[in-house]
Amino acid sequence: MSTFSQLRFWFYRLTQKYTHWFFIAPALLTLLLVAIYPIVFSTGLSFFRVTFDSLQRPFVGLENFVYILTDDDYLKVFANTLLYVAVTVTGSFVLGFGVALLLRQITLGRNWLRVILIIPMTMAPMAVGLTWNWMLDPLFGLVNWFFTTVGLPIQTWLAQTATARAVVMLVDIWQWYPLVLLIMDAGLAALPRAPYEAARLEGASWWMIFRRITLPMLRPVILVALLLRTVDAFRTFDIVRVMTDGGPNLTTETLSLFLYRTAFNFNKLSRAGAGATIMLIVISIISALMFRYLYREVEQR
Amino acid sequence: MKRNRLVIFALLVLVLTLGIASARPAFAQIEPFALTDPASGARPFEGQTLRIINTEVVPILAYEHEVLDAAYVEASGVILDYTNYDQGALLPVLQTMCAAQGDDYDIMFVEDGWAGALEALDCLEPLEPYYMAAPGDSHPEDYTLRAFGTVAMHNETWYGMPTLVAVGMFAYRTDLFSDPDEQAAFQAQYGRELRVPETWDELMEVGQFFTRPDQNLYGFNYRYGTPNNILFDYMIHFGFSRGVNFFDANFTPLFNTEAALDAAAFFTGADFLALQPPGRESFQFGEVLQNFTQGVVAMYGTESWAIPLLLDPEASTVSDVTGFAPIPGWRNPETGEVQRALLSAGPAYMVNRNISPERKRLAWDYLQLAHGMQFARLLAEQYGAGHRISVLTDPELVAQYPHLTANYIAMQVGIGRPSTPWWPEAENALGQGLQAAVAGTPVEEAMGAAQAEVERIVAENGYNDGTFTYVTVEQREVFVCQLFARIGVSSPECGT
Repeated sequence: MSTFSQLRFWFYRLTQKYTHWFFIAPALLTLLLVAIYPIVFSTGLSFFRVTFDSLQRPFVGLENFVYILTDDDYLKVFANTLLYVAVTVTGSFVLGFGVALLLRQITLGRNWLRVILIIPMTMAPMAVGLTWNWMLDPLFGLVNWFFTTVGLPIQTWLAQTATARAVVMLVDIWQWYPLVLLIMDAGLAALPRAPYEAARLEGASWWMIFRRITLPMLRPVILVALLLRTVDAFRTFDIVRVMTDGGPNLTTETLSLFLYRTAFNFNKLSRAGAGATIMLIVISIISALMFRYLYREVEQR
Repeated sequence: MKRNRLVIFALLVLVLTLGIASARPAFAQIEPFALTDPASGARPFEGQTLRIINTEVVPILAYEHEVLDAAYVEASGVILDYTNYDQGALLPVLQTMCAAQGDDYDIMFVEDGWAGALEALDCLEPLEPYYMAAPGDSHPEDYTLRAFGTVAMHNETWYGMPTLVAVGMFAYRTDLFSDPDEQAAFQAQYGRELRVPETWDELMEVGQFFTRPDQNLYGFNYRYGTPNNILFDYMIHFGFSRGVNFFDANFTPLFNTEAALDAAAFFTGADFLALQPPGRESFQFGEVLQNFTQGVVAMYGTESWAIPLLLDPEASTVSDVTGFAPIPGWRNPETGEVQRALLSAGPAYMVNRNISPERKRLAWDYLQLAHGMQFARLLAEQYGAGHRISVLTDPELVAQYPHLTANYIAMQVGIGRPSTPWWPEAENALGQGLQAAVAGTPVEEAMGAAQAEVERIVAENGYNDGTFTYVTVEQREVFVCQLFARIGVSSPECGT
């Protein structure tokens, strides 16, 4: 065999064996560059003392982690964020799933309705925040105009520590329930008809069908929807920044906003890195548990 | 023999070193150079591009660029290349550039609180040698000592030309105060003449008088929404005039002193909040401005940067009935005098030390003319705004814009905020204390917590061990006078 033929053979073997790598390499490289590298870099920062105004980066071990885990503000904001995630994920899921179920009952104009319902999700969070801010403005807002028109007192929900958090959460739910709606609607559309027909023949009620057939069969889809929403809720920044800027008195401050301030306003990059690493660990644990549950479900099937 | 040679050599080195050290000027001298001059038509930098890193954080800066830059470009033939950043993101960009000794930009927008951080990176070019070589139209003596010391200098060194000096101003509705019916009703209710308040007590009375929710009218409004907003409004309007300061000479924070607690209790108290429109606890920059421009409040404690906007008929529904007065103060029970002191802050354009000597001369050319004395008049004529003494005291301009007098008074009593690198974090902690007080935490507890947090920040940064001294406003004035003496300009405030 000539050298040329040998080369051709070698190249053929190579392409046969590693073709898939050629296809996934661009995506993999991009992921490494824009996702993995920043995570590794940010985690690395946590072990050094890094600021914008110095090229010196002394190693400080766990000092930043110790500081941030004993910082009252960080712990308060962490609790805020956990509550925010729990409420907004639950709220958007219940609402999104509920609307998806209702949508299955409609035949006329369902596609148009779907398009209208997903509009909030297509808007930029900044625009959503500004719009709701204006709607809820005590003096110039539409909501309070309606209230005063019907003789009710002016409401200042965003200014009160007791209500600001709830209002921001509601706006988040309003914006992101369409994501759950889309996922669940697609899941519901993909369900086989046979089990439903059989159940109806057996005289099963709507609730029994929902509990015994719909929910179990949708479980992987539900987990994907919850996972996406959880990760998304954890990194909420824009809406809070625009609507309340974390106030009043830190009640609506989320981890993303707090870490942004720590890094860019207070020039404490490593401390923010430590806070972000802790946040990453928490999100990873939650995601891992959900993935584990998801794959167990899939394998059982 | 060998030993003798060594001794002679050592002595020679010593003599040379002492000679060089004693002969060395404070800054490297610069040969005189030609500047752009609209009078003679000189355009030595024509065709060159000046790179400016900037932010347009307040309305007046946009008005300023519209007028001053256009005039400079026309006079000089220089191309101005602006890169604008959000104000919050600008300092990290500057710090990163400076730490790397970058020369990406010739001129930097530097807030008064940032100069210390950038000076530590050896990134700011002292302007004194440029003034000595080619003073042009810069006229540093045309600023009040407090304004110049706060905005243009860091400690003893002159680094910038102010683009804006923000001082507290008190806007009010002239139609309400001059209405005969309102005057009669006020006289009947309070037994004295209705006039723009000069003290806090008067502010409360007039505020109560104008608070009429059924007419959608309230007394006044302040910013409580973010930690730095609330801190500034507290200090500008109440803290300083009550005698509060940020730190003592040893950098011990002074936020749980009797005066500070008294001012905080007043500013965050229910009685005071009740005279402001609903939603006050979250008011930020935009809301307080909107409330006044839409005629919802009778009075508005604002800053000088807002003047052009408040007088702009396209921006305010009450522009034709807006008047300005000095911020009310605290009447000293011993002397009976109204004590006024307020925050003076603002940005200056500073020159990047890492650019070439040619580019530094170009940068100075822009600063001396675009932000010089004659161009300042252009801005005042068009928008009624200014921060130079020549503008604020000009009889023609004052006749056209009477508020310039109040602005001048404010310029003379302005106190600068600290410019230590860690100040933003301390500012946030103090503001959080005030926000907690508004949310219902007892003032002593809220301010005590803020005090403890700032003490921690000071200690963490090593400023509590006697190495650093807090530069007071009086010391800043001394530094400015020393500069004026060095560069040979006279100033009545310095007694020269």
